[in-house]
Amino acid sequence: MTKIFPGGVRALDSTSFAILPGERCCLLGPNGAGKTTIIRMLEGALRPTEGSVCLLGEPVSGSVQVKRRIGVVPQSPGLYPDLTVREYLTLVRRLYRRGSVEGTAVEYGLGRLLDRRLAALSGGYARRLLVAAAVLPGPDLLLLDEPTVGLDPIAAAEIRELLGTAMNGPSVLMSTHNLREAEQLCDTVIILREGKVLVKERIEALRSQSSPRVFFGAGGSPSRLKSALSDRGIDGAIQGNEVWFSAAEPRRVVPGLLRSLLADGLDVYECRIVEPTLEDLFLEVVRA
Amino acid sequence: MRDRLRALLQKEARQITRSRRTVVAALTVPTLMLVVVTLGDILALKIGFGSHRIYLLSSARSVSPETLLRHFSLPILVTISSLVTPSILMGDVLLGERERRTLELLVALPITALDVVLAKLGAVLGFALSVTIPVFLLNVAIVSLFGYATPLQEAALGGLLLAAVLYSAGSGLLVALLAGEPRAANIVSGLVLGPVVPVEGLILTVVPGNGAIILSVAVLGVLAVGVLFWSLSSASFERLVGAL
Repeated sequence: MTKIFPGGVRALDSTSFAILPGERCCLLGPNGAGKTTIIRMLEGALRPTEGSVCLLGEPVSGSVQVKRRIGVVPQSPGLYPDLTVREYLTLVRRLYRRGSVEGTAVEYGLGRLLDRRLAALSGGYARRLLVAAAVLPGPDLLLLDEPTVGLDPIAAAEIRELLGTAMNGPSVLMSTHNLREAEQLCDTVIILREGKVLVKERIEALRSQSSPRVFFGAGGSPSRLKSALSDRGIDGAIQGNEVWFSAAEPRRVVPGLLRSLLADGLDVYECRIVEPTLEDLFLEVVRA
Repeated sequence: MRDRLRALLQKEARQITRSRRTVVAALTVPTLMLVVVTLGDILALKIGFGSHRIYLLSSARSVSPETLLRHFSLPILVTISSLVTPSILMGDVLLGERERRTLELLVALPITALDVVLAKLGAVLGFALSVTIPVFLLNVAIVSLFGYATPLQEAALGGLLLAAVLYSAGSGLLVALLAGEPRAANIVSGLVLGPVVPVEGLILTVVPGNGAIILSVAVLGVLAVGVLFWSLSSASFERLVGAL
């Protein structure tokens, strides 16, 4: 699909991907990459300028039947200040024609707040309500648009915990800036840049394509250590007081290397192997 | 669709009626026009103010202030009191939701853009009529008490009220859908509603008797159907969230 907004802004450029049943996929990308545009197209709020969007095997195009099978957590929406938690969840249940207001409220820690006005909810509880509303009908697909953005670390951790439960079962597409969250909750990643899909891959597969990093710390100048590594045919990079390099099989290479450096009189006090994080992989892909 | 509409309509009605500011604002103009001003005009006539005769094109002769009240002032007051509230309310419930980002919640639910628009239109019409009709009935009672209107004329004025409320809500909806932000919407609303009163004044001046009110009802009715058709056919989530 391609989406061009008024004024000629090309938010998505021939973007194409599929999510399999049961897959928990996260959309990653820098600001303006098109993540929210994709979520809004999937929920039927925006129409593609070119191409088409299918959900659960049917074209989206505002079909209520398809939308009844998906739950959406929008990105930081406003809440109706005059409605109570019970009234809002009841509205959701009536529109989906299924789900339990009380049961879901209790499950998501909103049981004692059922008769509280939405205006009186804290940011964390407001976000709980949005997650509860999305899972209340037991959807086949969950669309989550930056579900923890703007929350304090404690509230964000609580929401992540709730999402961990909510995401067991349905297929999930979650847009996020938080790479640790993506790693914790999802098993597949789509990396976007300027409206194009750069990568769609399982996180484990992506990780296996990238080598671990070996960090060495030694007394004296790190440039001496870098030079010593260079003499052994290793191209290291200085980061703070440490020197690091990528190694495909670090557990085989490092012991000998360490012995050799110590034998040369280098005061190596630290050696650690760091598996590539999603953040490393993301930066690698986006910068490439 | 009926279930969805009923659920949304209840939500809209609950929100409108819970806002004290909205209720007070909606009551102010009709009460001022149909009770205070009308009563003031009648009392002024009774105590002898405004005894000069006034020349009207429709009668091709001068008319008494009583006739002027019956055939000119009352229809204009009914029109103004019916035009103001629905348009402002429509802008508030639609553009207000966009501003407060609560439309994002509706977009996420299994409903269509037409459901949203119809529910808002229904709630605004229901609220506007529930506020304006009782005030209008009070006006009927006052005018009848002093013998300034016939039942036929009151019925025609009732029709004028309905047509004006429909036109106001419809134009408010259209402007809210097409305008990018509230200030632009207010200006366009003024441009859309403003000419109604002078045009009606012209009809009331040129056409004689109750025919003038009936013609005004017909003109406003046609305009109302036009703007409602236009706004309902252009309803889409992209327009609602302001992405167009």
